[in-house]
Amino acid sequence: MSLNFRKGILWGVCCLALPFLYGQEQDETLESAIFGEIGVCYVVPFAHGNNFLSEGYGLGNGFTIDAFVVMGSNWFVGGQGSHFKGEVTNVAAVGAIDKSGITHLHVMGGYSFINTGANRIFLEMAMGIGYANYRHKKEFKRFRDDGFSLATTLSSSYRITKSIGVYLKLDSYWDFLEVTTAPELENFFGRTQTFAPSIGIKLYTF
Amino acid sequence: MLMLFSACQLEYEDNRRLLISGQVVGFENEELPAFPIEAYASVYADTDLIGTDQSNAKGNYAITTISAKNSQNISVYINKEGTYGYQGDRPSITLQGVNFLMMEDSKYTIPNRVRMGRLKEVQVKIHRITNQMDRLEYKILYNAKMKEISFEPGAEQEGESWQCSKYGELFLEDSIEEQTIYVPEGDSIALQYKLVNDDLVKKQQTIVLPYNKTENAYEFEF
Repeated sequence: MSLNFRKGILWGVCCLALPFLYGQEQDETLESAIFGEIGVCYVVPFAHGNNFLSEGYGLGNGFTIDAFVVMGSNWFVGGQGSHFKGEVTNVAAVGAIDKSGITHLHVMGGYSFINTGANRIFLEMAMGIGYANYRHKKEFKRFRDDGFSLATTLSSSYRITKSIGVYLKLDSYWDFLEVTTAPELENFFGRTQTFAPSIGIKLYTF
Repeated sequence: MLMLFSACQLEYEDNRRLLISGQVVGFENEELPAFPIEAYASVYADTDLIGTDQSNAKGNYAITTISAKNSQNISVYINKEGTYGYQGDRPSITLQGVNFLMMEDSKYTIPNRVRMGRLKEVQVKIHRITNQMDRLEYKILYNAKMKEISFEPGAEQEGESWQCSKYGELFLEDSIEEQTIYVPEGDSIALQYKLVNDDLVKKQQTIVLPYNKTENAYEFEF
């Protein structure tokens, strides 16, 4: 997918969301305590480091879904799932795979550092542990690599109405895959790092 | 029906990659161009590309592959015609039965250095020196643009199988016979011959003839 197309979708999400959001509950107070948040994001991931994901794949767009329960005034816990695609661009680095779908599931816990404007603007940081599944496709044959995963998230959200907001998120994933291979390839296939900026919509519950 | 279908198709192992490494060499260990290398797995009629690489100037290669759990054969193609980077003045080599080699730590190591000499015309010279009694029937066995090496159990001469042959005969009145063949420089060839006297085969043998660089020839005397 071209960069221009990705940018177009990002702007599209923003443009579609804002009028809809401003059309609701402009006068409603934002003072009431938030019980939980559910967010959906469009994500454009980038792999980095010396590993098979960064050397052998062109990563495509994807999405993340997260849900958190607010514990006290600043702490929150919850879960996050993400999925994005990758086309193999360097068979020599990866092996002859056609394409892959990469899924992460994390249990997350975090802290809200900034809460300004009477529950309107938030800056949050979260960390999580979970599972990474790289589902590969070779013609119509399927197989996978999977393993343990760590995630960190830095997000900034703007609450437009009492129950809806928009947010920008920077996710980092560190995956530790259980790939059995030659000693000289163990690190190359065993660890990946992915940086995943995203933009999305957040729903608040009370 | 579904089980039968799946048994005829390659299936891949989760969480597994293999490494196949080896080396190709020139005639006099000269620097080599980068040769395209491809590895394939097959079961029955299903054959898949499982990995690729390019050899370096010293001829070393290491192919990272996905791992088929039910493959009957893993083959490696070096300088396959039609692949990107194909070198037309060098032979194409197929290594068959790589899966029959010992795998250590998810790694197959191709045991012998494979010769990739430049293709050239070479004379095969057969001289009658001592034997004035017998007729010589011979067959020259050699590789030209294609070479195949098999690591399957029971393969001859560490698996080398000859792709080309030429026949000939040296009658009693003949003292020299010359044939021109097109071979990778430095390769050895094989000569199968029979010494025949009055339709009686007195001796039958297959010998390997090394390349004589000075003469640019393979020589056999009898």
